[in-house]
Amino acid sequence: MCFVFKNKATIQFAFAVIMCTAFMHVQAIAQVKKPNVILIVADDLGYSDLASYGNKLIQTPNIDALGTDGFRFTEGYVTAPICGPSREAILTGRYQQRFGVEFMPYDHIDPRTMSNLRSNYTSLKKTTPGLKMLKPNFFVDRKDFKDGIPENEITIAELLKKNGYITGLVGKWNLGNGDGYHPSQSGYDYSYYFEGALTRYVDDPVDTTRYINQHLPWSFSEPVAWAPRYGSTEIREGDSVVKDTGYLTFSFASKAIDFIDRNKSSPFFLTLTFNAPHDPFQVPKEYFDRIHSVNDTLHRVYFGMIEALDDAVGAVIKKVKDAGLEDNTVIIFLSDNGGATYTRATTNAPLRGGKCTHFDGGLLVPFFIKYPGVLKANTIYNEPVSSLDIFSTIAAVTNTTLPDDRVYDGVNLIPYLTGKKDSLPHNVFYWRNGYSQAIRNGDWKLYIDKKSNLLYLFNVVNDLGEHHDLSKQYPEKSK
Amino acid sequence: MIFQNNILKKVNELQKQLEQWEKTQFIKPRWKSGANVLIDVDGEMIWFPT
Repeated sequence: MCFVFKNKATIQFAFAVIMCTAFMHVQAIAQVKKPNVILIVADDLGYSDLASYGNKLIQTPNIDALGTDGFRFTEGYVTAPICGPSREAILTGRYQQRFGVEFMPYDHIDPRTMSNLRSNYTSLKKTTPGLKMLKPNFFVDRKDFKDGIPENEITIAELLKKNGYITGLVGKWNLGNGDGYHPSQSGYDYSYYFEGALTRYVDDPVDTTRYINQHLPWSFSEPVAWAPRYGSTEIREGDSVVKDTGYLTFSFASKAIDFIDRNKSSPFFLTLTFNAPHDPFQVPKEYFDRIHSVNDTLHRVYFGMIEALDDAVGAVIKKVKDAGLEDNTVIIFLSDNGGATYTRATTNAPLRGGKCTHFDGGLLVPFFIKYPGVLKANTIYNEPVSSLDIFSTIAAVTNTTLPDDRVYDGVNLIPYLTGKKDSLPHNVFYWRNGYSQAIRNGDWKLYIDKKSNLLYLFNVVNDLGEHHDLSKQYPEKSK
Repeated sequence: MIFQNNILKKVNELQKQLEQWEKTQFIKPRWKSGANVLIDVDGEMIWFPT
């Protein structure tokens, strides 16, 4: 086809059309290139609970593949060894103590369970010896407190939504209960979730030919963990309570896949917060049967739950690949805190302690980032990083400007991981949950328990397992 | 003796740094801990506020 331009005006018009088309094309490419982000958070998954972190009794190829396709961190810290506060920091990019959150939000659980606990606490200890390890404050007047993420905090979902992203939250929320604290009020367009700290994986009545329940009478969480779905433990889709009849780990994967399918043409941000492997321990029988190399039921159930989690993560990653989005999707995976040693199902070895302690077993978690084309595959990063970095990293890769009216405690990790910056992302890490506090500066870590007047000093580089309390060598001088 | 002094210095330094951080960066918790739990860490029992 040949055009003959007869005058200057026609030439100018044609030039303008060409330029306009070219500009629109460039804009379209820029839009296509905006990466999707999937943030996957596991619940109480310990440092020694994945094959890639040394567990020889379990197969977790899908989660581990995030490391073979990207970066695996050996020193990924969270900001609290309990779920709620840790998650507040992940989603705001700020130490949660900056906005007064260092304890778990009060969940609204089944009134009969709560009443039974209050009335029969002393006698219940006989059937649930784990309750001896719990000193509940039944008399806190919850009406006196607003227990959730404050309104003026900005979640990463809110930020990305303003930058044109479709946002979804699938899984455990734990950032507050009731009106004012719903995911839809924190920047999420879509949500399929439960509000609280835990819920059953399978609702009553449990088909015991398909699922195995493992009770933990030695755990302080046992009575609440098996409460029927009510209030904070109910499953919700948006503002509505729904009946989920599946195994929750797979239901969450399925809802995540549907979200990706619906939004594959838009840039999307999906927060996928599995509640596995938090108690109550419930596992599909086929996953229990897969754990051949373990004899005891407790570990077979626990490891089976983690293998189910791994398959769920695998299904979501497969969806990303099948939708042709793999090269343009950043996937981040981490646990919210260390493994719960009080369940007796995990040890966090070689680390000491676990959930509900400020030893590294409670604070160092499995942590991966996959960003094809930007981050090298199969890379192990041994310098300490923080879950606080997730916010700033996501903001950077999505070209989203951080608000300048507040302090962000994390950094964009990409320049450190690509070698553009050769310094450390962080020198100092802080932890505080009331009277239990800790600080790591360089190789050194101090752990203080003001209630029991305990103090520990470790060189965590030479002593990964925090076995040698150096302050004990000179006890009088260290007090 | 040198090692002992270094340990003491390190304890003091970290304590001060943590206190400073608390004073300047953190605010009072917005609600009380709902429970204290006692955790067995290699045979040592340690309290933790949740």
